[in-house]
Amino acid sequence: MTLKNDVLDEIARIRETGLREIEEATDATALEAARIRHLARKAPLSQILRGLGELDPAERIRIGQAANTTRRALEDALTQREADFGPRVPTAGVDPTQPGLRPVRGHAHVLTQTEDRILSIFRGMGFSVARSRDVEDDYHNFEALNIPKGHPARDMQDTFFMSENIVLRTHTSPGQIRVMKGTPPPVRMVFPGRVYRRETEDASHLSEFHQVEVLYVDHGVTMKDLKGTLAYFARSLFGSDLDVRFRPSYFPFVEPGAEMDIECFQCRKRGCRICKQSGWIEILGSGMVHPQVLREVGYDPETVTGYAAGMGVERIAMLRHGIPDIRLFYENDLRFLTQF
Amino acid sequence: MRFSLEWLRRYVDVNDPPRRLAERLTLAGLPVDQVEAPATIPSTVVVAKILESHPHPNADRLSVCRVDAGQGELTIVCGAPNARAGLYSPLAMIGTALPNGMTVKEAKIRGEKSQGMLCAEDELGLGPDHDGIIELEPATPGTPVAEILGTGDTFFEVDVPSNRGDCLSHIGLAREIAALTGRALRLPTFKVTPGGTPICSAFQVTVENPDDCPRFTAHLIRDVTIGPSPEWLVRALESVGQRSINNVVDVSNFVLLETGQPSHAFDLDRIGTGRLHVRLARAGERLTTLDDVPRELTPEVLLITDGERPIAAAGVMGGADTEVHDGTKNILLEVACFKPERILRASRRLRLETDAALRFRRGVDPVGLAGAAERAVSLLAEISGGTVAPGMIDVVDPAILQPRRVRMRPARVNVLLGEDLSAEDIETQLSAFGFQIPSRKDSVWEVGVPSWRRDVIEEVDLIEDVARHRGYDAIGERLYNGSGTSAPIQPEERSRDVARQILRGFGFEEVVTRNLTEAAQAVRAGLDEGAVNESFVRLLDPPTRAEEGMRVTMIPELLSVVARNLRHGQTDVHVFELGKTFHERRAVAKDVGLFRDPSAETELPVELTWLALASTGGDVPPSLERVTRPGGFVGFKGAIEGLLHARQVDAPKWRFYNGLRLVPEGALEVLAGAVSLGFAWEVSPAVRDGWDIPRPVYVAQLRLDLLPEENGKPAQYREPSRFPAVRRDLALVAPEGTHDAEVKAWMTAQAGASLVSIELFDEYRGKHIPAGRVGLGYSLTFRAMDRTLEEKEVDAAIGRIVSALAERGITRREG
Repeated sequence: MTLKNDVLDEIARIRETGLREIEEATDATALEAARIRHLARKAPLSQILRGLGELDPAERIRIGQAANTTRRALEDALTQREADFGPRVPTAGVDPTQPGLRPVRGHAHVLTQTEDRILSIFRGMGFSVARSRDVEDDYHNFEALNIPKGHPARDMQDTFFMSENIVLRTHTSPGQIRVMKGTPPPVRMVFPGRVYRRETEDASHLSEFHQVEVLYVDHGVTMKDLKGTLAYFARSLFGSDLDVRFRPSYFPFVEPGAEMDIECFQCRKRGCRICKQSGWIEILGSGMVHPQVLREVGYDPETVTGYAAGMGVERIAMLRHGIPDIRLFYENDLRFLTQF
Repeated sequence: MRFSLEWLRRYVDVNDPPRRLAERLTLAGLPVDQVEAPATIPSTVVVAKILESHPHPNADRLSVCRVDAGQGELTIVCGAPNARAGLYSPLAMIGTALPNGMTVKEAKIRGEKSQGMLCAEDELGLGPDHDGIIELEPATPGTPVAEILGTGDTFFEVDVPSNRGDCLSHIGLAREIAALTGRALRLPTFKVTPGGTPICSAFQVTVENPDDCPRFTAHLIRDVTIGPSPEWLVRALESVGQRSINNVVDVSNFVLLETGQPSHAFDLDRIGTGRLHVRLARAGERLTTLDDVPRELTPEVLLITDGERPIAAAGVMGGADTEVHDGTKNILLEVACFKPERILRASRRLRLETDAALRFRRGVDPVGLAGAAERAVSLLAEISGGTVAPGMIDVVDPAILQPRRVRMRPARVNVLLGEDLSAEDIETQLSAFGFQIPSRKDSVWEVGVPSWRRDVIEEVDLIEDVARHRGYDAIGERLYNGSGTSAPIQPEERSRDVARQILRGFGFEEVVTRNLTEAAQAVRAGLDEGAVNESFVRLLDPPTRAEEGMRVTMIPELLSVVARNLRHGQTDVHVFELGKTFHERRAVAKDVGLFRDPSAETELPVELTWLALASTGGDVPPSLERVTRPGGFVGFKGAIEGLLHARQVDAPKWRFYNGLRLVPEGALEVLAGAVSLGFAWEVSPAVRDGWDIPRPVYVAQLRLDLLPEENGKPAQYREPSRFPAVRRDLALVAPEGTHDAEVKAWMTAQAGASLVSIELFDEYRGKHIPAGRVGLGYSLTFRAMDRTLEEKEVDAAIGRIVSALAERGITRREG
């Protein structure tokens, strides 16, 4: 009995020291030395295994199992470490530390990526995508959107004119008119596009930028749908745990009008530089489509209602990626473009 | 607009802390951009009297002052231009932590000791002014400045929406606060004691354009004394950033900030005619405005005249001739309302933005106007000591005084908001804003609209006020259940996605460039000047030369991107953009090719959507870590063909320039069948020089909307042959200039049905090839569907091909 326990202890010791030596080996020589010490023909473990035949059957089974398990454990550990110190140039000619021959791959512009993300959230909710003209007439850009001549809202968006009647669209909203005039309700669409305003250029203003317009007109669409859909959109884009709030705002083509803010994802409402200490970040303008607009496109505001929203793509991209200056998008420096 | 909390408190009780009030207003649609809490001036900022002031020996703009700060004399170095002996000013003593975060330390400034800091307004957080140190009334040196200054007032910067002109005044905002917080509004009370000859017998007003000027009132105040305003008035104006001028002008400004109603005081004795006449200006008339600028008038400007000459630009600014001055005795006070559009045009034309014009553009209250006039008159009499003549001249279109009613069905509130509000709730909320509901039980209400709410025109406007009063937070959220209704991707969107993915896979980076450009850029890129100018859509009033109109080609912008990135040290640049070009309709109207208009539009300029590419050629440093792109024009063309392949164009046809518009000579056109898709060319060295690009550059523009779409039919299976292929290489010698497509066509014609592909694998000149000829290596693959081809069949085909080619001067190379 004593003998048997001694042998088992010995095996455990071999296992412990052997594994440690294999683990601690720093090069192929040290590893080979460990192998010779513990697994070579004259190693103690090999001798134990060779002597099994002299033991009585019960002991043979117990000691045999322990010795064999240890031998396999040592062999496995050795194999593992051998990979680390393998020959420098194996037959395949591969240096594992040398990078592969990578195919070149370009990037989508960060504005496109942002636009895609916005569109795909709405697509998933059944909105289809349409694009509209950049050069618009006064009717589609203003008149049909309940912004008659002399309206103060024409003040807010300083406009580029090609002629008295032709303008560069100041928002993506003319797309609403063009689509609704050609399609009976329901309409559930998003309109991405470039818009133009006469602005003094600085880190947050450019005379050209991008918007995405959202429009849903159907039977029984209410302000609750507006809030639900747009809040879902904002949370999908910025984080599902963020607070969203709506507050009244004025756009002539919607009534009631609403601005949507999200809780500042940087400071969580405590106030920081990004949210200008307010704790909230303005994301989009929205509202229930004005009955005057519905009438203008030949819809009956008594039977259908709807909501519309518009957001700036640059602004959202700047917020999501921490981009400090809107002009970076249009400089197209590859060192900028390839970051995204 | 900047609002003072103390001023607002004249009209409404405010118990909420300022930040809470700001949030309440923001959530009610009057966003407060900034709350300026009262400045707390540290107790170590004390009154100091400047005893002496000398120029700093080592600095031009600095002075060295000896000051009495109560506890002895100190030496202070000061940069303010107004530092002078005898002045009392706030001194921040050593160790003071200023509101802007700075701590005052004893310092040597250019060699002179400074034992404190004399402060400007901004340094104490009292206002924005940094022009000079604050000039205090004389006081005992050493007195803490906080005891003298520091109003304890709070200011709100409110971004009043453009439809809420009624909130561009302290009473207007107070009214809103009262409605939102359920408190009473207190309007100012005042009394006028008239005397002397009634105005009607002394003066006359006529209005030629009642449409532009629906109401014009005038009051007369006699025997006024022009002088400084009382302290309360000066303080009130200064608190919101306006400077006091004299008692008459100050009253006019005060009433504007209080009621939102502009007014204008004329010196009665300078109006020689005893009458005013309102009419549109005539071309060629001139008026020198209060700011002493002579201005050319046009019929867009509404004028107040004395019957003969212009004396004021109505609603914008008064004239210098009839201005109130120190010796003015009698005043005519004009309080009127003008059509917003007229004032908008006039102020644009005159390039004059005034507080009055802003209020008129947003619309003033035509009924409340009379009250504002009375208020101004009573203040003028009180402050300037004059006597108000009995009566008021009131030229008015009676229609605008009619109470307005808007039809509303309370049930619609719930239809639009998706809520379940009772008629009683709705009535409560509307009443808070001053709307009158005759009978709540009716299903249709004729709601009385207060005269100042010019923004309320129809039912939805009232519905918004119901929602606004409750707060939008009170409205629930219903998440649209969109499961299973994901919208199909439109073909154009698919084209965009495919193009982007393929080109990115080829290592092209996507860029986004500007549409506004100058016409000359296109000419610099090698396009015909006449064609460019004919096509170029111009802005009427471009902000800069570089933004004079819309691009007719995308190439110049891409060349700029290439040049910029090469300058930044990129070794090679491959970019693409999905964008538009714009063309005058008459220039491309008849185009049947690449520039034909895909839309049904007939009036507006043509907009075309393109996929544009630019790619540098030349040597690229070798790399073992990055696959080197196929170089040269062939590599560029290959990328385009790879893209076309993804759009089911397996065999695009390329040909030389054939009179395409807006493409330089020597460009290649690419077609799918007979349909032109776009063009590609190598930029000429001369054009490259213009952009300072030292390497070859290849560019292309493809019409995105003309790239074939998937036609919707699933591709049909074709069984591949189970029999082995036979490959034969043919080494040929052909005359220079032989086209690959011709050679392939000739071979195909002779090869028979079992030829499955021909591929060019070699092209060389030089040794063993005579001058004027080129060696071509083609690999031909034969395979039959129904059997293993026999060698002799293939040999026969090759024989036919070789003899057919020989007839065209192409010989098989020996050996």
